[in-house]
Amino acid sequence: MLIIKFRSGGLVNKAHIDIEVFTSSLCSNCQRASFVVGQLLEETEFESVTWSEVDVVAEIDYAVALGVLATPAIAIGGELVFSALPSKQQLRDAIHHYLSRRRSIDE
Amino acid sequence: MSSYTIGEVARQLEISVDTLRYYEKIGLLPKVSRAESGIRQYSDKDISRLKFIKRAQQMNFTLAEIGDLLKMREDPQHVRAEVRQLTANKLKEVEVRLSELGTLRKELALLVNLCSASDEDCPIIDRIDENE
Repeated sequence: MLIIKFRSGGLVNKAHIDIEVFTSSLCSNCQRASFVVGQLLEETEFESVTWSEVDVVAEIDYAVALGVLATPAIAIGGELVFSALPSKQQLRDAIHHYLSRRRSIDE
Repeated sequence: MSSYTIGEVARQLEISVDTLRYYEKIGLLPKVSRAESGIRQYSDKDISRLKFIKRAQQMNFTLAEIGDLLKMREDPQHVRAEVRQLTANKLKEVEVRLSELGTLRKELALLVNLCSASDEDCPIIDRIDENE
């Protein structure tokens, strides 16, 4: 598996979620996507969030199963959420949305 | 109602005239009506049946299976239980194939999108070829 794991800090707890950034070597915006995700997860509110880069060529079956049709793409908690580079705010909103959905399921 | 010569049908459906005659001989196609001159005149219904045969063959169904499926297609309420079962089984096969094709379609779309970033040969497809 060509997946590089990063953790934004703090212990993984019940609210742990994983963000996957789907990248490829030809993609000019992929580095930017990883940068945006990494930078956002430095914030303390997301200390339970981990993220990883997934090379779509090495992991093509997984990428296709998730519905990735272009790079960069971002999945949150195993669901494809962005099929293009999001802004930091869009990503923040998406993580909050995911967390609130998770909370309502857990309750 | 339109009618078509065997040559027109062969061109339209890309099925050889020999194969068209063979389908009629083995009963996959009911006796095709003839003009006074003896020339076969295929009807729209014949064309529809031939299109079905062609699609089923592309799914690798045997001619015997296709014959049964055609009976189901003609008169679904009065076919034998085995034919109904065969049709249900074939439906499952088509659904599996559709799902596989859907995955292939997405995979190809991803590769095309990745390669559109490159003006030259596609290095990603080259790498996949190397790995195989």
